[in-house]
Amino acid sequence: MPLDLEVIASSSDRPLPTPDAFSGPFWAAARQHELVVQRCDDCGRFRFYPRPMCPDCHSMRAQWTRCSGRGMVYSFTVVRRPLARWFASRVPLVCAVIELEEGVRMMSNVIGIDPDQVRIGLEVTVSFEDIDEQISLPVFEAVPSDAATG
Amino acid sequence: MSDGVAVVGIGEARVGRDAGCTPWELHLEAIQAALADAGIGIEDVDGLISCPSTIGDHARHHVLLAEQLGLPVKAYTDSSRVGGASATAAVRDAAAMIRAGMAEVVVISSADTQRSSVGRRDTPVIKMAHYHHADYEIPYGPLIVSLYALVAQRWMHEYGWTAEDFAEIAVTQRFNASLHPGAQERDLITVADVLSSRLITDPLKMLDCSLISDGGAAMVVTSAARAAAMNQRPVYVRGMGNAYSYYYCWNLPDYTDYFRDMISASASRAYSQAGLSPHDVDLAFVGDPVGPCVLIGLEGLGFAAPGQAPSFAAGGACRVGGRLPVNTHGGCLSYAHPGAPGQHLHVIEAVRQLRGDCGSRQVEGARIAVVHGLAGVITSHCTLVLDNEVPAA
Repeated sequence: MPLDLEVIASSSDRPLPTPDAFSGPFWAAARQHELVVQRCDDCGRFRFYPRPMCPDCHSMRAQWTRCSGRGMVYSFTVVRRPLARWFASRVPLVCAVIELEEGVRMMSNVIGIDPDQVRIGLEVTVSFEDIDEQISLPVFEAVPSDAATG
Repeated sequence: MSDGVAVVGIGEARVGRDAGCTPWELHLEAIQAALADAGIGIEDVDGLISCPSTIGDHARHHVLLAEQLGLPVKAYTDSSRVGGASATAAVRDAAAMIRAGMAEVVVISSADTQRSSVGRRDTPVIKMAHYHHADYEIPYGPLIVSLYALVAQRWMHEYGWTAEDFAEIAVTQRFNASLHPGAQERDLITVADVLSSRLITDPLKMLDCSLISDGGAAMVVTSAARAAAMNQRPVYVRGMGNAYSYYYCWNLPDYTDYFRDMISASASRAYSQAGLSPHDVDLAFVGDPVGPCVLIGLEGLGFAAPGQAPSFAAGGACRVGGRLPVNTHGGCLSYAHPGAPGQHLHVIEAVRQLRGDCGSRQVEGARIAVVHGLAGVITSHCTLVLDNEVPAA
C-alpha cells in the first residue's frame, strides 16, 4: 500500500516505509542492522532501489547482497523546512545522496553531525534507527577522521 | 509545407494567487479563451489533450474534461503526463496526431489550484510529495526543491557555480516579470535580496524557488493549412525533440554533465528537425522549478559552453533587451507556477512574443523561439522550436 500522504502531513507520526513482497528482504535485513542491495546474477552489477529487472542486462535473476555499509556523500542538502508535521521539530536535517562502496547510490540522512559540517566526499558508514518491530531505517554517520585515513 | 502544424490560439485563466474555483473551471475557462483567441468554436475542435491537475486528478482526466467541455467530436483525447514538460509534450503529440490524420484541431489545456490549496488537507507540498519514493525518499524528509538542491550542490562542487550565479537568474526573471502586468511577483529584486531571502534547502533560498500559484492555460494547435484561415498569426512548430532518462535522481550516472547531455539530446533533435541551430534563436524558454535549472538548460540548449552558463547569463544577458532573452514573462520564478500550467505558460509567452503582442517586453524582431520543457529532477525533456514565418516547402 502506498503511504497516505494526506494523513501523514497532518499527523505527528513519522512517515515510514511500507515493505511489500518484493522489498521485504531489504527491510528485514535492515531490521537486523544489515544493509543489503540486489546484485544481478548474470552481470554482477549492484542496483538500488529494489526492483525486478536488472537495468543493465535485463536479467530477472538477482541475489540480496550485504553491503559494507561504507560510502561517501555524493551530494547533500540541509533541509530547513518540514516536509510533513513530524519533521517540524527535526529541521534542519541533512538529506544526502550516499554513494556506497558497491557503486550504488541511495538517499538517506546524515546524522550525528552539525549540518553545516557536511561536505561532498564526506566518508560515512551506515547506522540504523530502530523505529518499530518491523522497521529500522538506514541512516549514515560520518566516519571519524582518524578512522577515515586508516 | 504540407505537414506543418501551428499554434493558433492561446488562453489563460485566473493565473496568480487565488483563482477561487476548482481546476475544472480553470481548464474550461482557459480553453474558452484559447478558442476565442483562435476565432473558432468548440464544434471546430476534434482533439483534446489535458495536462492533469495535481489537485483533483483523475485516471481518465481527458475523458472527464471532454465530457465537461461538451466536445461534440472526440476523434482523439488523451492526457499528457510528463510533469512540467506535459505542455511541450502535448504540442508534440498534437502535431503527431494532426500529421497522422487522427485529428485536425487539437486543444491542449492545463490547470491547477496549488496556491489556494495551501493549508488545506490536500496541500500542494503533499500532492507533490507523491512524486517522491514513499519508501526510499519520504522517510528522510526531502522537499521537492531539495532534490534540485542536491543537483545544484554538485554544479557548485564541480564547476564552481555560486549562490550569486543562481540569484542572477531570479533577478533576471523578476526584471522580465516587472514588464508583464499579469505576473504574480513584479517588484524588482537584487542579488542581495535573493541571498538574504529565507534559506529553504541549501543552497537554495526562497527566491531561487518557483512560486506556488493557481491558474489555467490552454492553446489550440492545427494544421498549417487550417491555420492560414484563422484569426491570429500562426506560430509554426518547426522542430520537436525529446529525451527521457531516469525517474529517481540517485540512479543518474552523474549530477552535472548527464543533465546537460539529456537536454542537448532533446534539443538537438528539435534543432535538426527545424534545420536550425542555437545561433538562429531569438529568445528561449527553459523550465525553471528553481533558478539553477535555467543555467543547466542554457548549456543543454547550446547557448553556453560546459560550466559557462553563469558567465553567459551574467550582466542581464537573459533579460528582455539582453543578448538572449529567457523566460520573458518571468517564468515559474516570477510569473506563476500553478503546476502543469507553469511551463504551459512558457509556450503561451513564446507564441505571444512571436506574434509581436508583448508590448513593453516585446523582443524586437523575434522570429525563432526555443521552448524547453523539463520535468522530474531534470530527467524528462521535450523541446520545441517555434517560428512565426511559414516554413519553406
